[in-house]
Order: sequence, then structure tokens, then C-alpha cells
Amino acid sequence: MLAGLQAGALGVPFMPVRGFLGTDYLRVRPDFRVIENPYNPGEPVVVVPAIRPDIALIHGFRADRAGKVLSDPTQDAGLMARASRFTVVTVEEVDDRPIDRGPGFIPAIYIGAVAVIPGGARPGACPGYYDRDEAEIKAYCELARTEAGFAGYLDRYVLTRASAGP
Amino acid sequence: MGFTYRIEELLITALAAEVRDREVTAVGARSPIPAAAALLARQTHAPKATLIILGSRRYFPFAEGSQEFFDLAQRGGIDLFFLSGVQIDGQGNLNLHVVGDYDRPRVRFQGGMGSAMLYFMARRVALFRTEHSRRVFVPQVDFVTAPGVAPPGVYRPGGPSVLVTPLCVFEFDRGQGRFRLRSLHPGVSLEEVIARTGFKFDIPEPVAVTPEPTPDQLELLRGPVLAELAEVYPEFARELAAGRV
Repeated sequence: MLAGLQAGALGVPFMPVRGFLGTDYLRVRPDFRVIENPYNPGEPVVVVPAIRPDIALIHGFRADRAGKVLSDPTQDAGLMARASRFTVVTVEEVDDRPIDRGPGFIPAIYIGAVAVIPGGARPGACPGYYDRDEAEIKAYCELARTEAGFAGYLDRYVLTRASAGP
Repeated sequence: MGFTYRIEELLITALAAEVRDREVTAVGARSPIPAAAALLARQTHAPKATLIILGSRRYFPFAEGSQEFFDLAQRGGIDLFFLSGVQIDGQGNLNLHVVGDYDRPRVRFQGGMGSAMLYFMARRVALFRTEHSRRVFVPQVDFVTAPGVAPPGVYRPGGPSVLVTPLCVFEFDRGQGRFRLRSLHPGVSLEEVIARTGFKFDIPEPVAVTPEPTPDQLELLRGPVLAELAEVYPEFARELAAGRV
């Protein structure tokens, strides 16, 4: 998927990837193709199609007034933003301190909209703000085993206004 | 002897033995046992090993995200990586996708997360599982997420090296595409391994015994290693410290 997003971010139609030959990906993913390396005749190489999402949803740490965003530098939010046609970023906070280039920096040019949603990554982690809520994730996994449980979870945490807060 | 250890600690020291000094060792997501092994090796025989631990801030030597890690791996920059499988077969094939038929699976898992590339490109891949049973070690995996041996003509500088389980250590013969028993853990019989392994493997004569964790290793593991591990795996570190893993 990263390779597809890389191709999307670069604006090229596909990306060659190492490996994958001899796997069942090639059986269940007809969009993964094997081509001959044009620069090394006889060598098979797998290619994956570019991914150009219409919308990317990203949760970042902080935005400034110019729409620049600071996100988790160990994730690939910047790549998603560059690959997508429109990127919506939710952040823990917005303030007046300008965000400088550096790890986790996403330039405003790749961002379509910013919304302040504290706790927006819950029950996942937002490093520096809160950790993964293991108990909550376990509870979700239990509820998601049945349709009724899943619907109940949605009712409680997603479809009610109470879910907007941290 | 005067000291005891838990089986997870033996898995950790057995995997730590695969880490070499001055090499690049990388640990993927959701891999607390290999992460502990890499950290332990750095405290003992491999002080100049470069460690990459996904999920860690300290051991993540990149400017950007995990894409940079995969780029490095794809360029051949990883000497040792760790992988596991829902199923692992005797040809070294890994299944991280489904048990049963792909279109009507009995259980679906998270998928390969790059292992179809990493298994080819990391020079040595140490495999591990915390369960040694016939449902895990099968004659043939239901889905090949990453193959032990690549078709001819495919660029593959890396591949499986060992398979560490709660009973034994296998090593993989890339030429034959088969596992060979390297060592039995203390107190484990060859018959037990045969009975609980669904694939055929080669048996040397005599069979070695896996070295037990030394008191020094256990002290480091239970102290500074767990303290560092807690950055990425707080729950695992807590439970291992309490003997509840």
C-alpha cells in the first residue's frame, strides 16, 4: 500500500516493488502484475498501481494559523496527504505558534481543511497527548464480534455527540 | 543452577543470538519478543548494532515515517529482520492473511504489512512463534503471504535463517528449501517436537541443546532491557516483569 501511495504522490501510474513473487497476493490481487524489468531482460518484477485517494483523513498533533500541521513523524501522514486529492486533518489543537519544517511537518499546500478535534485518535494513541486505550480496544473487539454489539458501539461512541469530546 | 527463567526469556535469548554487532537489525510492529532480543543483544554481544524498532522513538533513525524504513529495506539496508506467521510451513512459507479459503476464511488476520518484500530483502530473517503446534507448523500454508523460496530468476538477496519456537530452534536451508533442527530447548525431546510439528524437517545426529539464558542475560533482560522495551510495549514489559506473559 505504501508503494501505491508513493506512486500516487509522485504522479506516476505504478510502482515496482521487490519481493512478492511466489506469493498468493498475485492470485487474489489481479491488479498486482508481473512485468519484465526493462533494464534487466529476463528479470520478473512486481508492479502495483498508484493509489490516488479522493480524500485522506489524517489526525495530527497541532496546526498553526497558516494551515501547516505537525503530525507523528513515525507515521506516513505526509505521504498520504501528497497522494490524495483532498486532505482533511483533525488536530488536537490549533494555536498561533508557527510550525517550522522538521519531523512530522506537513506543508499547508497539501492540506484542504483542518478541524480541531481533541481526542480524535482515540482509542488509538496520539503520542505526547494520550496513549492507546487498551481496555477500550479490547472492549471494541469483543463488541465487534456481533452485529448488535458493533451497532451498540457505534451508537455509544460514534453517532452520539458525546463522542466528540476527549 | 540456582536460577530459573521463563520460556519467553529463552525465546528472547535464542533470537538475540541472531543479532550481530555492527549490523542493522530491524524489528517490525507488534513484535515485543524480537524487540527485547535486539535490545538485549545490544547490551551484551552487539553494542555497535544499529537497531530499528518500529513504534519506538529512540530506535527510529529516520526523518520521516515508516515509508523510509521500507525504502531502506528495499535497498538491501537491513541485515536482520524478524517475522512470524499465523501458519508457517516446511518450505518456509509464511501465512499472515487467512486460515481456510481466502474468499471464505475461517479467520482473517491483518495481512502481510510489507513482509512479502522484507522476507526477500532483509539478508537474514529470523522466524519465531510463541506456540509450537500442528495448527501453526503445517505441511502447507493456506495462503502464501511470503514464500520461503522464490521462483528461479527472482532477485532475492535475503530469506529465512532460523525459526525459534518454545520447543526448539530450526535453521533454514535455502538451497533445499527445508528446515533442519538446530537445537532442542533444555528438557524437550525430539519425539515431542516431531509430534507437535506438522511439517517434515531434517534431524542432525546428535541434536544440540539450546543454550539457556545466563544469569547475566536474565539480569539485563529483567532490568534495563524491560525498562527500554516499556517505551514501545508497556503492557508486555509489565507482564513479563510480573511473570504473567
